[in-house]
Amino acid sequence: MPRTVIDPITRIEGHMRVEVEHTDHVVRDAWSTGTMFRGIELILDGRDPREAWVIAQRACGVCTHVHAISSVRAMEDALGIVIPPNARIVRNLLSGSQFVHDHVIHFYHLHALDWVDVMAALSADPAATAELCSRTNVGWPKNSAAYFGEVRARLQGFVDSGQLGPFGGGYWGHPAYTLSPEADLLLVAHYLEALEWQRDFIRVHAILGGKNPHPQTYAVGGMAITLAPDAPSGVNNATLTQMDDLLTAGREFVDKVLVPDVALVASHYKDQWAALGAGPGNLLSYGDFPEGDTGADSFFLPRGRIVGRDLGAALPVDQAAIAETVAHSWYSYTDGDETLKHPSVGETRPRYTGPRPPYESITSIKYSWLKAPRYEGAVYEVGPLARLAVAYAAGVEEAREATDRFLNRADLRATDLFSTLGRVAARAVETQLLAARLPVWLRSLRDNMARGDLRVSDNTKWDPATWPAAATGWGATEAPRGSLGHWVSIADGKIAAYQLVVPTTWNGSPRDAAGRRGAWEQALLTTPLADPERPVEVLRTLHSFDPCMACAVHVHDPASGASVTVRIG
Amino acid sequence: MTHDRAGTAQRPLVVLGIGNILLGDDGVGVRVAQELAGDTGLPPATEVVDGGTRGLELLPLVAAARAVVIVDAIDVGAPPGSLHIYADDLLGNAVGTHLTVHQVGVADLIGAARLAGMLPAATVLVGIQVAGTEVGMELSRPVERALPGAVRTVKAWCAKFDRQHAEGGGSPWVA
Repeated sequence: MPRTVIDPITRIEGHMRVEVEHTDHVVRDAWSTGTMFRGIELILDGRDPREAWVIAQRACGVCTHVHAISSVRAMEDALGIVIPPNARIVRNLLSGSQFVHDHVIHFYHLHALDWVDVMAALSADPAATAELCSRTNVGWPKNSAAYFGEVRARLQGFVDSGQLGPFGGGYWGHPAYTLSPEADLLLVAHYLEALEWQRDFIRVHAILGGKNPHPQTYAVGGMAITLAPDAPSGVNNATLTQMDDLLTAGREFVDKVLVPDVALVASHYKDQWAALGAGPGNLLSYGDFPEGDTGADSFFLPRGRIVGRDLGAALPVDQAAIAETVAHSWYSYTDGDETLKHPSVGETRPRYTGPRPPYESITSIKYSWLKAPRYEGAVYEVGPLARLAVAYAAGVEEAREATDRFLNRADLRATDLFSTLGRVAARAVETQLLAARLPVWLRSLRDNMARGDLRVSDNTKWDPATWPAAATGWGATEAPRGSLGHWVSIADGKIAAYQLVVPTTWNGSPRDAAGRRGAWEQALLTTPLADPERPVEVLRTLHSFDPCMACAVHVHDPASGASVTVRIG
Repeated sequence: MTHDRAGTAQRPLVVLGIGNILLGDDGVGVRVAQELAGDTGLPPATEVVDGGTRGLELLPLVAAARAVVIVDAIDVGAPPGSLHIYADDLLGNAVGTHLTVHQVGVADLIGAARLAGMLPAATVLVGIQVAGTEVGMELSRPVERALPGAVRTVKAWCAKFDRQHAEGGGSPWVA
């Protein structure tokens, strides 16, 4: 059976790799491989638990905030610290704005190019594009025939100069691209607008996270930031107003550009892509965005599970039911590789048995550096679809309204959510939910400060002398791409053991001891391949999961040029 | 680690160290930035930034700069620790072929900045050939030994740029 290797799937120097086997232009089987040993955990052993977040946030390029939050939460859980309400709000603002930023970038700057033929946009009629825009993006001011004519000319300029940058190397002209040239031009214009938009929106992070691109303001016990209405720096009346403006403008773009654009793509491609890429049908969310001190009960996006695509019930989550096996992963467990081990007793002992790189194909029994996480032994998907489905099933009013509104607009049914397009839709709906919620959190911070509540950290347990001799903790959060957990053991004031289970380990998991495929291995089955040498259909489903594993590699290879390697074997 | 000695309204000259300090030599760009932070030998209005593993989040910084020096680990099959300068067309070839702007910083950052018309005319990549990018917070010996040379190279570029900029010249580097 011929195999197509997509290496790496994110089209960058990466360490995810997927092999798909196909006959008659349909994918019959898939193997997901993490090609690089991570083992970041090993670096943390023996370190000061209060500083672990500084290192942990470097584990991933796009998920710095969520790793920082998971890490400090793990310590706070271990040491029994309840952070002040303001710290909770500031973390929600940081994480929530990262979601909105990340989701917008994911759609326009990564995923849209799987649906939009950039070169076809060159043949669009600018007047017809303006007309489409006025129907799609109601009330969005950047709309005229002249404007779209300029964008088209600018795009032509890139093509003529041969410097296509992010538009280079696409599968342009592929038969799977079926949007009208006008829709293509509209989305290319919004791709460029989104670049400008994100440049402004991310300023929220400079205010709350510090000027350094890596956040500097987290702390075990709260946030290391000054709250004072009249102070010259930190969070004061001026920066509160500035953030309010940024969040308002951010929300405007999400409501009038992102969500309508995603609906445009979804309604166009729905006949095929709302029926493909279903995945395991079990979905897990740790939940996040606490709005009170009662833990998971107060989450804006609730904790829960969906089983067997049943939107009628959100089942409870017990982190003790999470366990990882290395039956098909390049590690060894002392009690046997088929064992399911909870992360709190997890082991990171690499044992590579794969082919020597560079290789054409991995045929060994073990085939990935990712472990295989399971919940009660079953395969689960994590990410925006999981969060939205759980919120929908749990009856969260805002989530139901926003979801139903989107489904109506794109002419989809709720059951269509369990698909490649469903993931894309869920990400957009979640962006809308959070863009609307961020100003609410900001107002509550402003109200607290106006009342004189300026506390943002609880330092009573800062001194290790106040800690028990041994403690264990779990720091859970939702990252933009799914559930993220840090498990820590502290002994004598130092980290004794640390384990991370990241979203892409769930979604990009290899098979387990029972041979059950991971989430995207399952989702890829039955994917059509119009042209196996240009497998854009496979990329659509993979990118719908928003894989993150490539994020830790930053070694350029100027000599080799294009990084997509597609081979037919 | 932002370093701004001038406090003037001039658009800053940005030195951007990129890489993952948890992956051995991959973090060499950040290590160069750390060495340069607080260095009084840099021209006025120079900002030294530890860009770490960030991507498009760095766009505001790049867009606001009058020149950008990116320092990053590269793998071009050259001797470990050797320095390689990419400017102008070479820079385009070095970073121009990637499609995502999501996960990996530099290629996408530059591609997106160019596309959006925000890329300063004077942008240069100082690459340091890696020996290994295994998990660990130490550099390999050849790359560690290359640090002072990389720091000198960046400072020399900045000084030359500043001089020529003051005289109204263009990009200072002839690779």
